[in-house]
Amino acid sequence: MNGTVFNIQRFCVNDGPGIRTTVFLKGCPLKCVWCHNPESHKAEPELMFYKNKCVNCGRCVVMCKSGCHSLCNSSHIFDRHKCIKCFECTKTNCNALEKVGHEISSDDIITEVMKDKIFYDNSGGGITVSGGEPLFQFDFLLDILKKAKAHGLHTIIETCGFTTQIRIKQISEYVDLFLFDYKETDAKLHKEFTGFDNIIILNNLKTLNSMGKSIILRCPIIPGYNDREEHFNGIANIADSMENIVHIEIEPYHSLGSAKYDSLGMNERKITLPDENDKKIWLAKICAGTRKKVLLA
Amino acid sequence: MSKLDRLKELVFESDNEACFIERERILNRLETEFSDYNEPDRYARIFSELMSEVSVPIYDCDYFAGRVPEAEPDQGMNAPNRLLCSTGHMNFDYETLLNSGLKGILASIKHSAEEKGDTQSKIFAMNAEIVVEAIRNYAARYSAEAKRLGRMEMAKALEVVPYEPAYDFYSALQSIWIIHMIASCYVGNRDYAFGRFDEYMHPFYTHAKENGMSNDKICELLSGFFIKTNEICGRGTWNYKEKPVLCQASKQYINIGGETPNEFSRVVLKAAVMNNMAQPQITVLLKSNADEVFLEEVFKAMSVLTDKLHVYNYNLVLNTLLKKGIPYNVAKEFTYSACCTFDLNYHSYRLEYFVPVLQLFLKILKENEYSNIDDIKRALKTAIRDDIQSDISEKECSFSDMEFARKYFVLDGLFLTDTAEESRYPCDGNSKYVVFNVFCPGIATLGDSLMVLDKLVFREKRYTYADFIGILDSNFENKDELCCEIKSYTKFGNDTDMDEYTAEAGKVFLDAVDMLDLKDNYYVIGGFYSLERENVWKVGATPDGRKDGEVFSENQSPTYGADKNGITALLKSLSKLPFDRTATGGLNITFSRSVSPEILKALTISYFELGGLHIGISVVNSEELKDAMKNPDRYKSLTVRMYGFSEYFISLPKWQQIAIINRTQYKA
Repeated sequence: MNGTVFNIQRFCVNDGPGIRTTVFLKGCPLKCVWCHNPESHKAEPELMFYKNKCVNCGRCVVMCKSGCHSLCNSSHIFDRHKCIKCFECTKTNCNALEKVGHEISSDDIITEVMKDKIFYDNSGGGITVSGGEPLFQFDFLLDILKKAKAHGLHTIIETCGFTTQIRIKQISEYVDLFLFDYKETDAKLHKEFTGFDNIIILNNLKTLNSMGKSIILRCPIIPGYNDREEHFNGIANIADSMENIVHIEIEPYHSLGSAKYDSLGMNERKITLPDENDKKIWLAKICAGTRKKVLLA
Repeated sequence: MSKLDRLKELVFESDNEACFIERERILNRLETEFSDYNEPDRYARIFSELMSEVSVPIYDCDYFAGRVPEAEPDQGMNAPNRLLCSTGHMNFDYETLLNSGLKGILASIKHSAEEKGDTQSKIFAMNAEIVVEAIRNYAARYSAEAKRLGRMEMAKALEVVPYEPAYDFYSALQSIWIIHMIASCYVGNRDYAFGRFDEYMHPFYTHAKENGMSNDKICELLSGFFIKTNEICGRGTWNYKEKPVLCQASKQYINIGGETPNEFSRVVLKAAVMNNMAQPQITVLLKSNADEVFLEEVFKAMSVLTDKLHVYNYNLVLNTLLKKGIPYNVAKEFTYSACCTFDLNYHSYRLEYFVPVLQLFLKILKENEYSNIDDIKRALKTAIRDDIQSDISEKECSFSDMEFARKYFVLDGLFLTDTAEESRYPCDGNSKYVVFNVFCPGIATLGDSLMVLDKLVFREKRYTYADFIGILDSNFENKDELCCEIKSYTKFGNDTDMDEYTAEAGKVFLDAVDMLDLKDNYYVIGGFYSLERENVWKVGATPDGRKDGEVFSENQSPTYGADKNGITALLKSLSKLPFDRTATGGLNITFSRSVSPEILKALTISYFELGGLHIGISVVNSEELKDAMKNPDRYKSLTVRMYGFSEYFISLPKWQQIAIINRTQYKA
């Protein structure tokens, strides 16, 4: 089976235990205002153009079929509206143009992932499927996970939990550990921040817990959005209420996605970066309310 | 401030332009006084005079006696004086020193000289006797000074060692230090290593524990000893503002592990972490299936010490040596001294040679027109073989052409098993094991170059051979597009089929080594390693898109920026190199932030299971390094790993700092 992937990253040590290969599937149903992977939103491949890396050589102008690249006073102009996504321009091998997202079979993914089997075996690692939202390409994800298990791999998915109960149950058979996002306690605010409320998500979380699946609760903390006492208490309460939540991971907002917004012609929401003191305070507050271990990513 | 902190502080206060002032003044005078003295005991007489005149300073913070006064050279002074200059770059047999003392070593030499009865042996023994007596007197003067200062443990130890065997943990360290310092600083040369430190110190450690010495006290003493090793090289680096001493930038390797790591091996690691200075450099010889407690301690130490600890694959090296015909009992004791160079512990006289492989490659490319890559490899193999053979011949000539002062004896001869047991001069090429380390620099640049030539000239035929050589000759002039295209090719370091070219290049080098015509006692060990000074890269453009003057790949690493698939892909690429035929060289990996001991352990063990030879790491990021270039005062203790050792970053020349900043930095 084929699907669309925007990255396969080897040697990931922050996506679950041990050394892992993380497969990033393209496409996500939520639109979190703080998302640092804007290239993961759409399911189909896109063109990223990094203006600051462009040397205005004009080679892309020659290769372009739709006229979206042009030179004006020796300066490269890119008109995204004219782009037909043929990606011919990326064959120039320059650093400024990049096709993000490519179709790949689950077999090829497993072949790639299996290259590091020895590192997984020596570290307790394995495969992590992330996104975007991996469940957005459900059949493809299921196929990958089945094959991963057949190869004896430890499997993790990093999910926002926004899917049907049937699907979450179906997938859970092939997942050893869930990295489950918990973005906002208040349902209304959840809708405001992500486009949907959290009712379905919480039900899925409860389902996984009742099925005895190991869960790590991943909590992005975003200044000016969810860095509130109520939410900190919400994180602590939900963690304590579910015995299969192993621990909590706090993920403070960072701005590493900024350049990607520009390169995709998207507008990025301005968010204040937290300082080290903010992070310590968040950690202390969440720790105070829960018996579970809380880690700062 | 604690004694240890003060001892450390003194190292950072040391003057990188200072020489060992007393040594220089006395040796310069003796050089004149002895100019007409041509008797065979010349070396020992000069040594004896020197050691009888130098002062014996002891500072309050010194745990062990043995310190060399420093000052900037007098006006017109020719420093450093090379009159007694030794060979350096080897591991001393401190095990015999501790167990038999200089007295025992001398007895063995005299016995052998009498048995053999030849003039050379007798001269060696005569020099040895004078030198041993001089060291004994020097230690006695230190003992008297220690007594005067009320340092009774130190005074007592120096009444005994190094002439007599060591009698406890403290006296053992004192004995080693006094010899190590004399060899490095007074006689003069760099990179003496401490051999299998955990093995020969283990009985003294056990004795100390049995006599109630706490682990804290043992660690404190070890730390006091380890900090002293920094006094030998100060803050100087190998290639920048060379300190006018013969041991400048001397890297102090301490080898631990091997077949039987013990409890003391772990104490060494703990003390090294406590110390956490550029010296000593902990060389872990890691066997497969080492016990978990040792493994845990090694990687805990690696995550803290980063560039000051590196790891070799013990089983891989041992197998290589056995294949070379070295007996197991000798092979299993192998060690390393600075620059990741291989040593047969205490046995060998070791020489090294950096083969100008890329220069030879470009030369053969331009001498003939080849029609396929295999013919190029064949020609290169012959060129490399001839070059190494010629270097060995030159070294043989220099054996018999040593300057007179050192013709019959050097201090090193006392501390090599072969020479001490056989009363034999170590530098004549007749030791039981003469080990040559021959290094291949820029292996990835060579492999990638073969790949590009094969693709553009032989397979795709986009250029004729002559045209492509013309492009190299013009240094890619007006060929920016081609350069850009070549640079975008998948190269060595990404766990793809392209790695085969570099693996093949490695085989060409090692095949050339196997083709050498050697004496029975010569063991040539090939490896992939580089050590560069500025302008070394001015050899011309190479087919991999590298222009004249641009850097070669460092050590076993891919060319800068070529490795794009992460560190596991890198390690898998590297494991395709024919390491099972090498025992030397190194790999440096840079992480942009700290890595957990568990991950370091998993990476190293996996890599060694795949057939990797060596791992050394740095943890630095480019922002920090750029800031250090701007504000050096804030980064006095910042070290980075380069070639086969760690260096203070701010002491490096600018070109080298930039090269380090440009290395691939892995995120963990």
